[in-house]
Amino acid sequence: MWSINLARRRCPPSANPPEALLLTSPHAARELVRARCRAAQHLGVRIGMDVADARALIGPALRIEPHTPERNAAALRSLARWALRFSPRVAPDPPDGLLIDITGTQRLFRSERRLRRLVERALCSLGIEATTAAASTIAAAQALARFKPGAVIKPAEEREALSPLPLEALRFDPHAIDALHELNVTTIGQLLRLPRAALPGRFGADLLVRIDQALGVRDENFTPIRPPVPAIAEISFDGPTTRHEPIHAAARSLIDQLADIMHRRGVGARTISLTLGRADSQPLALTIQLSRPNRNPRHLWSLLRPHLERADIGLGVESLRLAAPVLARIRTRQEPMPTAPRAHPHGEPDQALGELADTLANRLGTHAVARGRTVNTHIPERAFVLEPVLSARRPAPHAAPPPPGIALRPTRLFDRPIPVHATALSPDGPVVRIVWQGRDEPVQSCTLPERIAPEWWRDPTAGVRDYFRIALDNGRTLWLFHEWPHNRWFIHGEWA
Amino acid sequence: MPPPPDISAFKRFITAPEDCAALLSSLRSSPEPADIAGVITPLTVDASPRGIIRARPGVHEFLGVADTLPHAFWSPPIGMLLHIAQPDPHSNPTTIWIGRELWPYGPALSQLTPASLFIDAPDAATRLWAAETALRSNAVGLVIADGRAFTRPATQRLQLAASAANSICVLARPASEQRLLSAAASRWLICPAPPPTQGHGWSAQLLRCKGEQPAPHAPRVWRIVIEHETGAFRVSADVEHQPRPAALPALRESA
Repeated sequence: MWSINLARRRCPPSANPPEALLLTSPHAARELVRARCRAAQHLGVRIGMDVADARALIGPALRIEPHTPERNAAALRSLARWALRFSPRVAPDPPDGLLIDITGTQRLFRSERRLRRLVERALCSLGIEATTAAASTIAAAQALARFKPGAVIKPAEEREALSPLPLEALRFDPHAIDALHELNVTTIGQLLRLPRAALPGRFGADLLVRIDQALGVRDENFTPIRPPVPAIAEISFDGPTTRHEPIHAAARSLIDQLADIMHRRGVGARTISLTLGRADSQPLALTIQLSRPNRNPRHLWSLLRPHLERADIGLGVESLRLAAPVLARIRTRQEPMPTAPRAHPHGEPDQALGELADTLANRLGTHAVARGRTVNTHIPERAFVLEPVLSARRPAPHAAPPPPGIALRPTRLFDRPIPVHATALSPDGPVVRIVWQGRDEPVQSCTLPERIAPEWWRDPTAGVRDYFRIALDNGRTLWLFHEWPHNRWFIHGEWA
Repeated sequence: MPPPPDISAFKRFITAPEDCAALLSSLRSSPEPADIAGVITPLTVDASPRGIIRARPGVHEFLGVADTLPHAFWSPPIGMLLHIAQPDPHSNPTTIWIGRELWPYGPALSQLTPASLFIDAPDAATRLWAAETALRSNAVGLVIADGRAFTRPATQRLQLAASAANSICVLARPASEQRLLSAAASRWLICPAPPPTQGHGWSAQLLRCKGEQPAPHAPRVWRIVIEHETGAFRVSADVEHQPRPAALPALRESA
């Protein structure tokens, strides 16, 4: 369900009644189902089924999204980092699980049962549908979480707890499972009753290994992810100081140290925070956001300096602490030969543009510096959005199609459509005259209408619009629309 | 109190007049902004507004469009700005749009470069700071700014920044500011000029181009039309409206 959860988070369902969700990928000129939601599962859709068959089972209320295992794996790693709040030893369990070693930490949460409930509730608050279980071995926990959710078993109870589960729960080799099914062995309990000595020869050595690991006879371990270490640099003065020169010098020194730490790790800061330890009051934190990861000391100082100059240092500053809580990897590039001409003599254009955006945004405000993005919709006011550059996300792989261009869309769209009176020869015919800004304007030419239907799933009351491009006698070209069935006319834009 | 000027070179010239030739040659070889150098090159017959602007780092002004009409608000010539901003393979595609009035509607662009930034600056001082910062950053190919209420010192600051960074700044201003002094390298009057056939277009009249002298038959008025079929810009010299000798001297005085 992990991939389904992620797909739902990326594209929230908008239809009513809710639609079934399938994730598919092509295979040998066929489109096969790779994951399906619970509703589709109840309707009989199986993994590996052809999409056409699944569509026949489900009906029209169906949404199909591409299956992206790489993105799912990356998201699982991110979720593992998030789960470090429950234990210092966490690892992703591909394709759809997390392993959390709660040895010792369950006492912090009073009991294993309470910890399991907490984990489940926290995942639910993130919008992730999850099932959990706790056991003394990894294999048993994996099996119980998927086939007996909510179970919490003690050591030496594994055999009893696993016995009713199907063979798939212990992740045996599929060929071994098929062979056991031919012998009418379908549960782990039936498998455990077979003579142990005969199993490796007929079903492979891995079968016994998995059984021993599940029962705790053989050790099984996992490699936990390493928690990210924050980049921090600190300095303390001998006593409180109110002089700006030593504070600035210390801050510059901390920036150099932080840049050195980030350089060694190959990362850059998306956020830096300078905390002033003040003698008479609470510490003061100065936080700066960056549009792209950056570790250029000169740039970081140019952003931090105005904030530091305006900061209230009270009766004096005793210490400074500079941290980069949000880090991101900086792509390294091959340096050219010393004798070769540099392609960008003033530095990398991406980095220079990011520094410019940071400078502008930190002075004018986060929302004053934006980047444009086209959206896959026909509604003109929603087809183009501006996102603050400090929070602009990367374009999705299924980005919007190329924009229609200047021939079909005006160069300027008004914030709100301006109501006008218009006279047309017929209800959907050419416009001959408009009254705008108190003036009667004859229309020199008018195009055929372009009909844009509303998005009924967002606003059922919205009317259909017929857009006309009209040229006035004074040379202006306007984008006019007639809204049905309200019979109203608006000017929405202009080829300015 | 401003620092005293460096007169060491002048002193050397007085004390050692025999170094006059060397001093003059060193002064001649030092880089100067184009508008101070006064190098006059002819405008060619096949020049176009985009070619003239793209070939000359500095500040260029577009005056117009719609405030010349009674009871009409200022509508900047965004289509003309889009024409100038069209990226070419030899230039930096990054464009900075400063001033909310100038922001183009995204779907009208043939391609929206991810490097384009839209800056919302509330007043003339902030717009000037943003434009100057962008020009000095070396990351930008073209800065397009709302130039309303910019004084001559403001345009001079931008001209110096653009000359130093070898970049281009286009200011859009209402036509009513045509008589204000400006240090722009070129000034253009943009008027709506729909073509006789289907389409929309503008006329661009070159009012002034510093350091340039038009060739005898070079045009000063161009028509820029958007072709409905392809959305491409078509530029043609307006042979019916050739240089107006009466208008140009007055405009030169204002500079």
